[in-house]
Amino acid sequence: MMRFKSILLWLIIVLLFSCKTEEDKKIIPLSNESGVDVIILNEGNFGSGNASIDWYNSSNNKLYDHVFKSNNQNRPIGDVVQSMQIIGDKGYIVVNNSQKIEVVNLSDFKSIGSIQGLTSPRYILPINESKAYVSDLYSNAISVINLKDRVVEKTIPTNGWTEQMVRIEDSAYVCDLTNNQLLVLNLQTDSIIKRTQLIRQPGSMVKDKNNNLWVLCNGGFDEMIPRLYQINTSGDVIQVVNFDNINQYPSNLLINEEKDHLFYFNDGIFRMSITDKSLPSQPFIEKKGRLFYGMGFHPSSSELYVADAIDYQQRGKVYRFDLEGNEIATFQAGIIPTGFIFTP
Amino acid sequence: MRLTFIITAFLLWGIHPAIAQFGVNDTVKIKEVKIYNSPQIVTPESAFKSLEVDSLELSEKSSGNLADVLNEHSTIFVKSYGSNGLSSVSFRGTSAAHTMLLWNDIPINSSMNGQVDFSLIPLAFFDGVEIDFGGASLDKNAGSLGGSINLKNEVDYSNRLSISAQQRIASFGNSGTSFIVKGGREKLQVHLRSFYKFGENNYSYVNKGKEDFPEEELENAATQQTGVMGELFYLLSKRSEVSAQFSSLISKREIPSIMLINNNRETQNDYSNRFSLGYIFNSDFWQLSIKSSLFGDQLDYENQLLQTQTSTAFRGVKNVATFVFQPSTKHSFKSKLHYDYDVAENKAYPQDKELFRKAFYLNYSYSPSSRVILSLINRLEVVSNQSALILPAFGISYQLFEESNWLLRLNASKNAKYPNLNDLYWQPGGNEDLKVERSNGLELGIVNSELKLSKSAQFDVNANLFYLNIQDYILWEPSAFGYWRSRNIEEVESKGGELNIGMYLNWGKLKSRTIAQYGYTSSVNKQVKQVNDASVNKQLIYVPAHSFNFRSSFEWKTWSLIYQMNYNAERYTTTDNSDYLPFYTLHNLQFQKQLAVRKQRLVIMAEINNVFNSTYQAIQWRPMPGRNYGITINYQLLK
Repeated sequence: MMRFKSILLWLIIVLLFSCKTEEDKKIIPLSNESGVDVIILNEGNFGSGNASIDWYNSSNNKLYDHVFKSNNQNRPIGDVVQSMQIIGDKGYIVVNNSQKIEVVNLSDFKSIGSIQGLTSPRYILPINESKAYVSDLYSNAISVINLKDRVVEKTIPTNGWTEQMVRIEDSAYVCDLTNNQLLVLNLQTDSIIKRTQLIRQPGSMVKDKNNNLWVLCNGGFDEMIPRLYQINTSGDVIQVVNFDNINQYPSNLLINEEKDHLFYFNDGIFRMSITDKSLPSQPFIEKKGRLFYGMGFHPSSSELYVADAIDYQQRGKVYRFDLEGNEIATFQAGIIPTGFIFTP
Repeated sequence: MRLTFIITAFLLWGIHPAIAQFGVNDTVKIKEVKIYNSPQIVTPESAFKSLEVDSLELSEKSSGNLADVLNEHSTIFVKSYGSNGLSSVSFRGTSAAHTMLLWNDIPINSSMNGQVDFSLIPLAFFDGVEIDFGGASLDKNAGSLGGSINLKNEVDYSNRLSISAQQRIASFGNSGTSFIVKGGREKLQVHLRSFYKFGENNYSYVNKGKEDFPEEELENAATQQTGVMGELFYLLSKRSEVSAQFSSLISKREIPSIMLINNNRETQNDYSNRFSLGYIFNSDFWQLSIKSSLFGDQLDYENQLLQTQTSTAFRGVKNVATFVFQPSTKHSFKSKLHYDYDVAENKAYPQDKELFRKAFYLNYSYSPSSRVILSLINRLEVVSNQSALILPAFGISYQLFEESNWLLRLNASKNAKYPNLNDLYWQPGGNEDLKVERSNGLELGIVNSELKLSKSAQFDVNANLFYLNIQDYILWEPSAFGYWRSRNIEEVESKGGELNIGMYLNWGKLKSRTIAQYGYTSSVNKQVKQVNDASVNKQLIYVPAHSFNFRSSFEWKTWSLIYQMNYNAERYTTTDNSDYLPFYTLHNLQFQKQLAVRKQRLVIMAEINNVFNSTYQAIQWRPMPGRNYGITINYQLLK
């Protein structure tokens, strides 16, 4: 009897822990949503593969999360979504640590291929229908991409980390964070024609309505007082504005649709006109314990979309602010929301 | 009786009579350290939870590593990067840096990140594993908020010559060879241990991170490790012993990338050298033991893609003196003095960093009656010029019935952990203003180590409830300056229960031994880190709420069949618990045939691991091996 009971007990324990089967995680199904006007890039944690892309309908405040995964047989987008560019009817999503650019149909985000052979891609800049530049953290080169064949056609040596890029007429302007320079490239010859020396870490750059560039240098970690440069298309510095002290770390320079007002993070969110000769002393939106990470300007509603990455390890929160700094709506995005793309 | 006791004490490198019950022939795999039915000594262990992994089990897998043993023999969660990959261990809902690993009572965690890679610890180098839960760890060290693991080397002066040679060949190009010789006379014993192992670890997996889910082979995962160790034990007199120990380990390995990344070509080489001296003196009523260990460790990391290379070195000396005084069967005193010196070199520090640690430990145990043991502990710790820590603990154990083995225990303890060097000095982000992490713990347990139901059936039971509150938990969090910064940011509350049941059946020629272990852990953050923080009252990441381990062996004459199962529930990967890794259950089978001719023994083992070919990840996007096989031939000679 004892033996029987023992065997029974043994069997029960084994069966108890053998029967459960793995269930797939529930994914919200997604169809073509015509009201969607915002694409949210969630960077995810480096090395954790938890980047994602959300869609957002600003008219009804509805979010569709994990769009890429849902529409691509449950496949994740990759590790660290850095940026995205719309070129024609396609989206080019730069997936930094997966060393690729995923190419999707803009209408449904179904993947139609990818551009491989990159080292640590950061941003993509369209040059014409068939050509784009890709900046890179580690490859010491800007890759010239053939968009039709989706291959790296050639590289332009740079000797360091290249970051944000802007195109004005026949030139491309590239931030070089290793040499702290603004590189001017000739688009016909794909060569660097000028290097303008800046201070530490020119991390973000925008173009204003007068075709002048604004470059924000954060000064490194407590190394130099940060600076905002205004630069003309020849690559010459027009104006330099210094920040207050070495402990500041401004980032995420952004410009509005009219291209006459700049926005940036410096603990809070600051706003200034391109005609201002000095930096604003007070934030336009205060930080209030939040960790501002990504920012975008909605061209039709003239709203600021600002992401709070919280602790980097949970779903971030997105704020919509009007130009008076009033909060219009909030919603939850994915892990480390880093960028907003507004659909045409 | 007393002579037996002294010999036992020598055998075990310290006064620990209960361990003598785990002889070579005892194949019980893991069980409570039995103290209370050993009338010779009153010790605090009965009031605190401490488990042992049997030494025979270790010797059977001497070409393996410590991470695998803990995975197979406990409910402690092992976070692994893959087969033979980097592995960290944490229990009771604390972090890997809160789990101290000691070797013969000397801590071997890195002073830089406070952790140990358990996959680098070879089983060939030690004879026993002791797991101290919660407050029990204060006996060895401070800072093990969840618990600590102590590796032990033992000597047997009655041994003349024993040889153990093992060869293992396993799937994914894995091979391991170990050779252990122990020999000597009544006064002198010499042990020599060596091992060499390598593996391609190129197992295939379905890559759900890539289009069309291709089946891929894990790349850049090869490992290679070799080591030698020598030990010398010499009895100066019947009462005193000196010992010396030297070990050298070299590990070279490639680190595979996660499924979503092309090969980063990351490699890591670890070098570790240790030299220890020990002295023990026994009188009738007291024992003095002194151990000193010199160490030098180096870690070289390279990422070819990112063109980064780092080299980290730390070296130092660690010393511990233990004095045990037992004037009568009712009273026992134990005190320890620690003095450690560490120096670490890393480019990320402004300059080489030194750590001085002084600690004093005192334990008084009192047995007012044969059924009650009271234990008072106090530990005083000072690291460099930081303020001193006072860490008291109190425990009581009570034998419930006169003629039974049911024991009830209750203990409360304070523990604390100094920030490690990276937390303080890493540039950028290190924070020299960090406070120590402090914990308060409570534990209630009921134990029966010998519950006889019939002549053929015996059980043992070990059930515990624990509560742990950790203040000033150190986390690295993003700062406004674009880099991560260490801060005393969280309050963590961890509570749960552990149930271990052993079942031993003897039906004549057929014997069966079964150990079932279940752990429940609720480990949550109680502190709001910022306005939008949704992590409050949520389970910490990578802490499974439920874990279960089951191991059953059947022996028939010289044949054995062992079934082992390991279950880990979902583990959240985000602090707001919005995403998780699914649970996994692994089933392993092992067949053994033993051939014995006089004093020679040959054991042939065949194993099938992950029998049902489960697809699982212990860490997000790091594939784990599917069904795999191994054959081990173990030759032993005893003279």
